[in-house]
Amino acid sequence: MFLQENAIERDILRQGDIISNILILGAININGIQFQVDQKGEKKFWSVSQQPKYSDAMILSHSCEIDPSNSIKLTSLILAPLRDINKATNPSKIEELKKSNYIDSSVQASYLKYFYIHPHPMLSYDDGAIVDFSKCFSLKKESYNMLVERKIIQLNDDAIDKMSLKLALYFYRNNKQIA
Amino acid sequence: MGTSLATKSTSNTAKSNIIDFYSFRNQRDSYSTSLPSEDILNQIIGNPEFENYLKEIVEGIIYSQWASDIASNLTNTDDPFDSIYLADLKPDSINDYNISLLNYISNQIEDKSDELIINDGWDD
Repeated sequence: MFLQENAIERDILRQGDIISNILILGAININGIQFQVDQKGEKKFWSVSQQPKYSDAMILSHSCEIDPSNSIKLTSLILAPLRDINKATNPSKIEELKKSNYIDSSVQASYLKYFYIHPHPMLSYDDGAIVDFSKCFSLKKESYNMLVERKIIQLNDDAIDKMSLKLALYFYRNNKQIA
Repeated sequence: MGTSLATKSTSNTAKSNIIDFYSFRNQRDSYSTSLPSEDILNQIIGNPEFENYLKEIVEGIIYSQWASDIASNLTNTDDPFDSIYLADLKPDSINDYNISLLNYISNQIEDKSDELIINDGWDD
């Protein structure tokens, strides 16, 4: 699943890269945002009345789009947080979830919202983690260098293909499907 | 906005210069003179006009400071969205095989994600 330490591209971001311990902006409760208004009632500043959450996160943006040489297209970077698989409330599903990364035409059911990440010495999840696509968020391109500095793991091509197919299937529902 | 705030601040100052102390002087004449300095102080503090005068000065200072902070931070205001350079963009090529695969798989696969909940506080 992972590239060897000496094969990791240290000065560039790729789809599937794992970023260490950054502020997670996804899944914010918009009703919890407080605004400071000026005399005209215009909203000037805002704050979120909840404790900041830090976690590892995966780059979901396509590698071509976020390539620095592609300066026109690079505007934002999309990420999703990693979550500890041992915090799952239904442990009996975990083994099934671990196998669900592989999808082909023979697969009848899967956990499309999650992508399983194997245990890794650079990660603190003893039995692995899941990338939660439902909590994705974007950062401006100015965050690129900060993310590069915090990049700790790079997926191999096979894992990237599996992840991006699952991501696409998670968002894609054609009209014939009910939900 | 900066201009209007400055005007407001100036207006406060100008108003403070024409405060009427006439009633204060009249009251002082009818009071005992045993502790004149204490009487004067009490009358000044208890005078509603003086209270308003002080309030306006304090509000003016706070308002000016706030306006100053806003003005100094204007250069740091960050637009969260970038321009979209449509003229420079080329459409992404679309791979027929990928579409067919997505269509094929999505038609037959069942999403079981709802059967799993992660108890780390993020789903609350």
